[in-house]
Amino acid sequence: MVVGVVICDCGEKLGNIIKYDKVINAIQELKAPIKKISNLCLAAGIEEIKKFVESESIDKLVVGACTPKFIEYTLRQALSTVLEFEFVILREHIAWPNKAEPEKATKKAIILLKTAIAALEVKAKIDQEKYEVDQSVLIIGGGVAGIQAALDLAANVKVYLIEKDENLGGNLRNMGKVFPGDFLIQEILQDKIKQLESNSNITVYKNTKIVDIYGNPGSYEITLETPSVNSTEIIKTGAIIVATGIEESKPYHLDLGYGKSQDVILQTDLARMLKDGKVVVPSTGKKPESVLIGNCINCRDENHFYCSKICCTYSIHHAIELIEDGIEPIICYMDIRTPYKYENLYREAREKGVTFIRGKLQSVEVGPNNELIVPVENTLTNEIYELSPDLVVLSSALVPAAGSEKLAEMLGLNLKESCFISDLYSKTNPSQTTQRGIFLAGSAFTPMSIQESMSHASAAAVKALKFLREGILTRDLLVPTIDEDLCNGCATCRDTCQFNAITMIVQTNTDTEIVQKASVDPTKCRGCGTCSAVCPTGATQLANYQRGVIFTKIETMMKAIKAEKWEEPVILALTCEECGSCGVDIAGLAGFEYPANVFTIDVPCAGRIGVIDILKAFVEGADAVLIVQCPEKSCHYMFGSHNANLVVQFTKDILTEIGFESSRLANVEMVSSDPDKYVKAIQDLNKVIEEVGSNPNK
Amino acid sequence: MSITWVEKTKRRYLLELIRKLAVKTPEIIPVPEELHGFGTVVHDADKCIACGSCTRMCEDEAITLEGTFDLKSLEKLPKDTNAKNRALLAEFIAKLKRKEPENPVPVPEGLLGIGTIGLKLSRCIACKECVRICEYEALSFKEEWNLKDIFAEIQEES
Repeated sequence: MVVGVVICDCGEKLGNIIKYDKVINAIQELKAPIKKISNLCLAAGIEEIKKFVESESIDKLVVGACTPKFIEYTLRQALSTVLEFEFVILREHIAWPNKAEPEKATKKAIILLKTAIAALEVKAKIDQEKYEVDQSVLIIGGGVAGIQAALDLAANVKVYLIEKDENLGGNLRNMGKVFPGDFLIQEILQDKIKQLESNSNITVYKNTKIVDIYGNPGSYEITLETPSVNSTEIIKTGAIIVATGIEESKPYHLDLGYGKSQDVILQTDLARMLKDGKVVVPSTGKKPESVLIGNCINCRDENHFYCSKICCTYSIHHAIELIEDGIEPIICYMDIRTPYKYENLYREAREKGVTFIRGKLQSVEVGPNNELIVPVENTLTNEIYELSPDLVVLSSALVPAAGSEKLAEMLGLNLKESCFISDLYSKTNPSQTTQRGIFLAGSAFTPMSIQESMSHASAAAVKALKFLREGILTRDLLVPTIDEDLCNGCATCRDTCQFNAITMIVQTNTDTEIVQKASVDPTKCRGCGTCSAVCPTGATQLANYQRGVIFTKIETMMKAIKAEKWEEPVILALTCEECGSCGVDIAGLAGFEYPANVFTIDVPCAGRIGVIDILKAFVEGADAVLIVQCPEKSCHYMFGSHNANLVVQFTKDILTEIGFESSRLANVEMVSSDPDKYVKAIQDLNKVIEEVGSNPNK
Repeated sequence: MSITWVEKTKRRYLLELIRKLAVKTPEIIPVPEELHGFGTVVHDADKCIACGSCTRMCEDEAITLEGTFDLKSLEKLPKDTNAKNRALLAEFIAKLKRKEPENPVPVPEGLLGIGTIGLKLSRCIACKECVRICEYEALSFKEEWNLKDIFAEIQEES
């Protein structure tokens, strides 16, 4: 096994900071072949490396250059014979932040290169797994989002569309004119349904529900049940789009007369009446003279904390239709939220004479003759009115459609606090769920207007198609391995995993005793390593970031620091490869200069860091440990950064209890555009070390 | 007087009946060898790695993972334990410590797989599932019914 080293001086620009000849001497002492080039990012540089790898028969390669974000992909493509890489970021992490201290920068480069060499010696080649992707998509929900996604996909792949009701169209079936621009939605809907049903690539299942889902991203087996015709069918599909949509919640529990009086109805009921062209008071069958519309019912309160977003616009749209029909509408609102051009609709309603009262409906009393009495406080004038409308219409909170929670559980999807299905990472991947191969369309994600639902569905269709077009999925098995001898079946890893990638398998061992062992599904695992951090026994080890590798890095780094006669205190930084490492890159790119005494070890996610990893650094003599992580709420692996925060808090308490200064441990949550936070954290830790002295364990 | 019980389990009902009938504080009662459902689970904190396996087996919530972690017990963990991560934790703490730990360390809510085992004898139905699942011999079973402690526990709860 030969570990080679390539270092690049970035067009000779780094040479006046890092003394490359000293670096080469130090690495040659380790008997590792080393080559210096100046143009790693160019085709000529890649050729040089290829020749070097061949002539020295190098198996694993340490690359000391700029950030791997720029070069890793090209290198891996070009050097297929190299089993594993390790990157030392000479430019952004060492040379640029320490321009003024060439001697320290040189030592730091040597230390980090030695660490990388040692790490590669214990890193194994990561296996790859290949599997075929079934070229079809299952769409759950035949509302506007489901229909749109089906139509978008059908030109390319086979589509199965499942609807639990007997008709397609979802909420749209009960709508007449819709915003924007008074479209007659039924015509559009019928046209779309016609297109759908005449397309041979689309199979529609009505009155159908999903009873079982089995398989992996790329090849699912779905059991469908259609009770009306007494049939059960199993279909195979490669990707799934969840388009289960929303419904209006029924506010029986509020004192608003809903369920008590027929004349208190929901906004969706009014939509149905308007569509049929006949608005009536249910109890009398007559046309109402006045209608009171209450917005934000069951919403923006302790029942549902969020704003349902579209109710303001469509209630105003309805009010305009009512006033044009000669009915007097009054809207009671908390705040009017009519974004973008719908502001015009709000203006139009006021011009046409719709009355707006700022105040949320608190109660609706039903009088002896079924008349409605509604006290309303106008919170702008502090006046209290008593209204007696013929009809009360409630815009109640829009909630995920019934059954979507159970479906999410079957699919292994996470729910948000609002109970809508969670996406993976809103900023970069809006239609992707937490499961690979499963996508979100329309209001299953959050309440959306018709237009928004259609765009969101088209986005999901593109994502699904892109996933299917990969054809054969190859992925590096950067997943945890389970040592079954060590695993005691405690299921801590399973309960921690946010991607449902770990299941407990019941095994029967020789003396007929039943034991449980953890098992990892590589297609679901995203490789954050949080399971490794929480495992009490050490049975769960994330490939290439297993305990052995992290410990080797810490040990080698601290030894190399001693060998280089580094006199300053040592800060060991455990950095997540998402915003953490990117943030450090950007600190360098943006020209920040900070103390050289910080030495970085990368982990895929801060969730990988366990208590023992931090303690190991202190045992080996680090004066301080810094955890660099994404902000808890925007962790790329959902839970990792949160787990890291828990680990840091717990470790600090342990350190305090054993009389070791807990101030030596710090963590910084940052997005990649916050390099100043990183710099400040290093400065702060240096101050701490100044106060408490060096690590007594040194 | 009607009996009110905290939770409607058969075991709790039985205990309330005994409590109602009792005229003196009961002692430890031996359990006949072949009688199932009675007995005392004993927890040895020095062998326990607090992984929580047993808590997942217990359907009666008689055994739970409490939110503190005892460093003194950790020191006594057998060196050859199969729980390598926990053994390393003990080793590192021994190396780093500059004073003897006194108090248990609180475990932040949400951090899984670590803590202290807590037993609620009044809920235990002596199914022995926890004893069977424990790989570290931290749980054992005594064929005696500790009514004395059970009553003290109920007293404390109410």
